[in-house]
Amino acid sequence: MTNVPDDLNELVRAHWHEIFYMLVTLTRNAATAEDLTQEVFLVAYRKGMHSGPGLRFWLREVARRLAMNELRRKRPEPLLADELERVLNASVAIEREIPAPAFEEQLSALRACLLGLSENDRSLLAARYEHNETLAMVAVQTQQTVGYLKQRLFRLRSRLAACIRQRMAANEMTDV
Amino acid sequence: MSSPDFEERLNDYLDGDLNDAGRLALSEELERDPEAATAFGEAFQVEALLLAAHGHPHEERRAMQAVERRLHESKVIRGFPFRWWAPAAAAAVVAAGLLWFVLHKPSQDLVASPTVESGQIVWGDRVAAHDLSDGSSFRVGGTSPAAIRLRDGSRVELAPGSEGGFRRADGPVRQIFVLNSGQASFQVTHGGGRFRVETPLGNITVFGTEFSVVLQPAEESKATTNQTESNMTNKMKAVMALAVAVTVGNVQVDIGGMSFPLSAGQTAYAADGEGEVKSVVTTGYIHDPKSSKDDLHLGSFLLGGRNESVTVFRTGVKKGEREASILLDGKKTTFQDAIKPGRKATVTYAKVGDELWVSKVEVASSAKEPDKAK
Repeated sequence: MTNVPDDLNELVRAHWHEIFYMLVTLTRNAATAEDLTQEVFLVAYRKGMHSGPGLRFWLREVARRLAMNELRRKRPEPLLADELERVLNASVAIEREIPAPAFEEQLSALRACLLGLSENDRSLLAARYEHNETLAMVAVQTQQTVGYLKQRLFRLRSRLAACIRQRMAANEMTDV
Repeated sequence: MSSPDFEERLNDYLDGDLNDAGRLALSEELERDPEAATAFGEAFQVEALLLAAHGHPHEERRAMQAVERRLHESKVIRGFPFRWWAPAAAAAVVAAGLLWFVLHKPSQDLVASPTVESGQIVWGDRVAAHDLSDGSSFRVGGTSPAAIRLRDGSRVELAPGSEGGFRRADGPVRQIFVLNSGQASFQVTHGGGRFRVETPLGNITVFGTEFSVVLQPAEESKATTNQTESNMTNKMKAVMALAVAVTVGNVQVDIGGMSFPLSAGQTAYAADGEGEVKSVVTTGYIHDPKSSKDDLHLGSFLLGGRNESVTVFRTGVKKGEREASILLDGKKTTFQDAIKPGRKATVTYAKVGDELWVSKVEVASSAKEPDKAK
């Protein structure tokens, strides 16, 4: 990668993780997310957006736009782009006002929170997020109902969100 | 205040289980209720974090390197000498067919995945609605041509019955299109790396901007050679052949481990000949005007079955900037040791203009021994 300016490499390394997983969440497809992530950084490169304030928000916004275009072209898909766009616009407005904490910091907090879960809960999350299994598949394996697993996932997400919030708040206090 | 169904809808959405009515209700609620929008934003972020926390480091590394590679290519492409960007045109024949490419005006329109613009693209047993995925193999259904917009913005028109696919591009190649049979015309865009077409016989890499390729059915394919004693035109059956004719610019044809850079005005036909060696037609030397040594060994032989005569130049010969490998049981050897009447031989060659360029001859010693009476 010797021909890529250092600041570009830094740009990719600093934001790749967040942009990629944001796009996986949006598109539900890792291959598509990977391609779109490349596009996000190519756009940044072509526009000379290598650093500076607002870069992270700008990258996320480009990622959202590309994901919307992609989902719109893929109709009918599990997510409808027009509706998702309205959904995201609502959350973007909030993000514009209150910038999200750094992704890597949140990720560290989440990892610490995961350690506090039971083995069974971690297995359910691994099946869903690491092995990309559907709840129906997990239901067959664990001999539980899909409805029960949905409830468990719902509670786990809520619990983890609260845990992340607490840890981020504690970090802020420490920084102060 | 969020509706009673909000959390259930939100979780169904995150699980990909929310139906159309639910999505509409969710989006409307998010628009009117900032509290719900905040909850959604947080849930969405937790979802991304959970995916990241369960990601595979080696896959992440590979994906991140792919991003860096594309940035690297963008940098390199900007520095390309202009001559590489001269307009190009080429044509290719595969005995399963004849393939014409046409590259048109450059375009920077990038799409995230190949898209069916018109016609019927069939994947397995279903018709693709709109988009295609990398790694997909497809055929053109129905009786009308189909058009596909590729990831890099290039456009392909395929004749009915054509079969092909896409492969994820890597390194300096930005787009790979696989054509297994049928006919295709291409409008290839500039920028961001090279465009490559892969066929069962060889690959065509595009450096320039305009070229065309056609694939013809095997029984319609003809190979002509004036290098044989009879200067004959042979009808080839079930033999793969590739012909590339460049009208403007440059392309590179890779066949059997050998590269044929072609520029405007050049035509290359390539084929795999396979059959029993009937007889060695000539042996001797050809004169290289640039060399004082008569060390350019030439041999020709006739393949039975196809009645195809091929000429083999010894490995290392510089004529036409090419080199033929003669393999006996998979090991490099000399023409004299390898080519004997009665042996089964498979020859990979390209016909460039009036010349036949052999890139590889594979001979199996287990075939019957040479007929000494000859």
